Amino acid sequence: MFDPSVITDNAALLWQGLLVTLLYTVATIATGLLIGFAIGLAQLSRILPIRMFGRVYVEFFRNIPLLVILLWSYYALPIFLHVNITKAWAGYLSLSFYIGAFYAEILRAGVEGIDPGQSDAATALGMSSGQRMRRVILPQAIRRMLPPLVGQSIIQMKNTTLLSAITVPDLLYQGSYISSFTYKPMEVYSAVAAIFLIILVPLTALARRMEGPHARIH
Amino acid sequence: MPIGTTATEPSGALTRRALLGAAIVLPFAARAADADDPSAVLNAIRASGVLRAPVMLGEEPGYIKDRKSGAWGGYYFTFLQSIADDLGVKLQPVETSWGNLAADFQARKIDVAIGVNPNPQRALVVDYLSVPIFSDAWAVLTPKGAHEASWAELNTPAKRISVQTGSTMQIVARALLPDAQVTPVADRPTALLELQSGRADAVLLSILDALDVHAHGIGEVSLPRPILQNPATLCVARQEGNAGFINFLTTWVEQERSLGIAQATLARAWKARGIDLSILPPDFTF
Repeated sequence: MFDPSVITDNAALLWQGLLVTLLYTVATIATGLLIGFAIGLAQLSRILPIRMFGRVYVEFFRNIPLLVILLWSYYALPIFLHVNITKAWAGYLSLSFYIGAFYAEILRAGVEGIDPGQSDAATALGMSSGQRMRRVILPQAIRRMLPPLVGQSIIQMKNTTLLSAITVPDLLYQGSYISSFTYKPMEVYSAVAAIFLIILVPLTALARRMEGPHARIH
Repeated sequence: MPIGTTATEPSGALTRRALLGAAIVLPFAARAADADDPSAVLNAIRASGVLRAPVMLGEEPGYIKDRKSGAWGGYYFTFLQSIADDLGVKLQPVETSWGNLAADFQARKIDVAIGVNPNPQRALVVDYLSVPIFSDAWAVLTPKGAHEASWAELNTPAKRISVQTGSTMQIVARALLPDAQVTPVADRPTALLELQSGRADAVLLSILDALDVHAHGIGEVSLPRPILQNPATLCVARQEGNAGFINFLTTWVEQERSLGIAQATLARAWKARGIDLSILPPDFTF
């Protein structure tokens, strides 16, 4: 028997959790974009050590599960490096570094997907490397990158649920909390799922709409 | 300890050798003195002014987080508060989970944990107190109308038992229910979800936890025979200089038990939660 009072009685806790989830989503996407831009460009660098650094960064964060990164940053840093960071910082940094690797790959693939002939043409017109990137490559690449960037950002919002593993009070944490004293997890997790749907379905629709202009480039 | 010399040696040589010897020996001597000081950990806690102890969700009535203020309570928290008061320090709750408790100790995020079951494998990395603060019993929560009279009755291939991953319940299930289908799950709400969705025939819980769940109108509580004691003790990080802290905690436990303070704390908790202990045999003591 579904008991909606479990949700209405504890709406304040769910609301607090949602705010934390949104805060982490926005903050880590913003930081991750900066990281992704820097690492993406590093991967495209002609200087081998910089290119290698970018590649190693991406492979490191892309191939370790986020939950392991979260637990490692919160528990292993104090043990190995004597760096005692709070769970809030551990969560913020882990999520930012993690999504930064995916954004970097999207940027690299977006730039490398542009026909090399365009770069050659820009060079023939006397453009420098920076000018080519700013005026010719990136404007086209960004249009191509937008749909996967939005898609990855949607995944990032769902990734924030792993924060509950280190007891950051996000939406899932509050859901677990409510379940722990009401003993009605079905109602609570259904509500958490509904909240994610309400927020993410419009964003998914937006990402699909963005695929229109992208398709027209071809 | 003075450096050994003979009276016939020139004073300059003595001084140089003494200084060299002191330079080599004193740092080690100082560390050895710290390591040998049984009060080192106790003094460090008192100097810091805080006692850090784990608290966790999904463990009511032992740990209860206030719905509005977020402040922690519950009988385990009351016990921890009493320890902090006796130490003259502030209690600092560190929110975590049973699964992360070992990492919390290793990362030195907590000083003491309460409500733990002695476990020899974990005793390789943490120090348990030799006396429990109280002992309850292992019970099973079953769907309404069901009853399990004995562990042998539960130990059949048809029975599906839900236990919490990494908990003592898992060890109990492995020992007593080798023929049953035992499913480890992350936490108590998930175990209850298994029961409520018909995927489990029983959830293994301590009797206090099972009765607390039952007080919310969920399932039936059985106390399978033979009754298995479930000692709840304390543990601290394994480190040099913690002997004094362990001794202090052991003394605290002895006092809580011998003066009936622990039992009174538990009784208040049961009353506040509306827990009915009539299922327990009349001669059962905590």
